[in-house]
Amino acid sequence: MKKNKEEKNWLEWLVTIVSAILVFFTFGFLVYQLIFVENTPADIEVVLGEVTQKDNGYAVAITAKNKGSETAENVIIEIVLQSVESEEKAQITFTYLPGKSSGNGWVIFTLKPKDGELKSHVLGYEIP
Amino acid sequence: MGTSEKPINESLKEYARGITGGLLFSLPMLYTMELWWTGFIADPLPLLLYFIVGMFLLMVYNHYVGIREEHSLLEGLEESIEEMGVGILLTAFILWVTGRIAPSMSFSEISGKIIVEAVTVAIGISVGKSQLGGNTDEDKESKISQKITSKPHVLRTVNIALCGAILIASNVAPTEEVIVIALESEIFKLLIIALLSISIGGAVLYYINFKGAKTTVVHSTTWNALVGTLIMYAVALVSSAFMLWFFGRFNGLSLYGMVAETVVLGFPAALGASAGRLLIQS
Repeated sequence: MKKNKEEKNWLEWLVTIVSAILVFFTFGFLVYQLIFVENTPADIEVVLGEVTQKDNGYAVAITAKNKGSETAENVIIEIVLQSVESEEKAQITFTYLPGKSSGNGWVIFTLKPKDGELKSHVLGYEIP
Repeated sequence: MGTSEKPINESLKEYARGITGGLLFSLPMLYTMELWWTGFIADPLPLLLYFIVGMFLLMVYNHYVGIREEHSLLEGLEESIEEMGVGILLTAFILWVTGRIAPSMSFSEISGKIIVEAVTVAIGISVGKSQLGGNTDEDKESKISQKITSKPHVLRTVNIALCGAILIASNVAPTEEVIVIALESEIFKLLIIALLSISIGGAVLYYINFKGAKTTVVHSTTWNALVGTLIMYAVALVSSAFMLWFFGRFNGLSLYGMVAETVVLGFPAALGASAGRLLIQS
């Protein structure tokens, strides 16, 4: 019967065992997600970070977190700097925010934002 | 050879061939944005189905073409699991190297991206292991012809054609271009695409003396050729429709849009189901 009774060497056993673990884990993970993880619609939370002075203005770090399990596409977020004397708007778009994930970026203002003057709000997003 | 252990460097070479095959067939996919997106957009159910279909195709391919001539179902499963496992590892590595997965992403996003790509990678690995090797064993020819005569013809044809169609067309299926072509082409052009797919596929199988066609395709009568071509195109359309559905390309489309897309993707799938099929089994 030619060579078809060759036995596996340690390398092949290693690859087979690692592969089996990966495949069954993947399979199990998908089944687990299917049964136990509830699909929740996208839910975007915006967190503003520190203000850094740049050449052309003041950059504010922004983190958008999708707390739902579904993906949001083209998430447009508006940040308004409202001080006593003036109002300035900035906008940022995240192409994709997958479920339970976050995206980071910066928005730039010409005036220096002070505490409590920044307000953010999600203008809208698509469901892919 | 008896029951001796296989030398380590033989196994290493075999894995290297497999990895080369996997990369050859799936690097275009790994470099495609729509595929990364599908990884986190797809729901667990389609992902699970895709994974199962992938495992099934691997089993089938190993059964009909795979390395060993005589094997039990368990050995076939073991082989398929190994290829899928190596496929997952290779995919994860390439996605990491190209910066597509990072620890900051959620686990379901990472796993989705890997699963979407790993199926094609694994089929490529399987093809690479069995087809890209040099002539180390001269009994390969006889092995193949023996296998062909001993298996039911239509089932074998359909299954390997499915593998070929998925291998070739999955590179194109998730892209935006399919829907753009489908929706912007006039109907008579779609018809031309369909006729082109059928005639090229039929010619490859029955007329132009393509590598492997003589030994693996029965063509005694015109009737056989007609039926064979029909089956080839049917396989191409079914696999196209499945992939389009999986990659979310049917969402919100009218029936006309769905059919048009299937025809557009049916072209590469038909090439896979004819030329691809002959190449991966010869």
